[in-house]
Amino acid sequence: MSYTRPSQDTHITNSIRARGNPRDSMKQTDFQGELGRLHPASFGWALCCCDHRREEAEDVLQTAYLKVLEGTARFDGNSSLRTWFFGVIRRTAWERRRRRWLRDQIFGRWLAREPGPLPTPDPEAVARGSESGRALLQALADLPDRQRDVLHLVFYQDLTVEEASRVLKVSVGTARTHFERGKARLRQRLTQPEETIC
Amino acid sequence: MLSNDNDRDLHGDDFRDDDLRARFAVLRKVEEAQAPEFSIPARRGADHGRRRRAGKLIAVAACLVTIVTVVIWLRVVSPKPDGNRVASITEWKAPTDFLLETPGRDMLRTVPAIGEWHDYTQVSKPGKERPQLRKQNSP
Repeated sequence: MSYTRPSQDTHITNSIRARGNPRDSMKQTDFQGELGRLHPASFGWALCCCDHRREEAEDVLQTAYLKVLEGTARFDGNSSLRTWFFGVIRRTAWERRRRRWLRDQIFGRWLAREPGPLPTPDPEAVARGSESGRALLQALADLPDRQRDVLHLVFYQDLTVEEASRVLKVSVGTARTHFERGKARLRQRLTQPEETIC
Repeated sequence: MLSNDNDRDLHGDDFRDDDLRARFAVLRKVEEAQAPEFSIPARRGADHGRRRRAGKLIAVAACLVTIVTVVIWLRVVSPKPDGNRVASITEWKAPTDFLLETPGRDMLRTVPAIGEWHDYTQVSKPGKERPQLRKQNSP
């Protein structure tokens, strides 16, 4: 079985490749339009990177847009626009997590109190989801980060395992291993009764 | 046979993957419905750049002030060297030199002449307590 799928944003990538760096030579409106088309998928990926904390995901996404527009993140055309932008989102989320951890470590000690607990996923948003969606989110929460990310990219974003490996900056073999293990574990979690999961 | 098994496994895996894919599709539909409106944030303009430069300047100035303060503090706190010059090597005496002052050591400082080594008697020279050897004429 293969997860090869013609990339949906091939034309975007080709156009940017032909015109060079989007920030330098592309019309700003064109690039914004392409980001706009990617926006729902980008938001889903940002949610995944932020453990489904909606506000944090929105902040991360906005920061990623800023990085792209200001040229902090540059598209070199070696991958599809979506793969590249997902990488930017993932890195932004990671930087944000690291900053928060550092802040908690430093100020938590200065103020002689324990670092604050991580915010939980927005319960209202989760409640708005369907039953199967909730079960899936719960099962995904039990998976290691890498496995969860690969599964999200392949099943949710319809990327190939190769593209997922590029987003996660790991080798294809590693991504494939995470994918297989994640699938097995996810199936196990989903087939377990509700009470054993909680 | 093996290929048939593999095919069955693959089809089974496909089926189960389709199930997972369908679950993710439902989740995607829900989350995309909740996605905020797409809006590109206004680029941080000259004001942001100015603030950033000012921040860098402040950081550099703080580092400089800290370094100068530390240098001054170290100079004030460190003990001042004595005004006395360090004794030269010819003037210097080891603190344990007195251990070498053994009885009769002075005798060793005089150089005896050849052939005059025998018949020495101890006489005390005026003004000196230390006994000295004097040559006696042999009969």
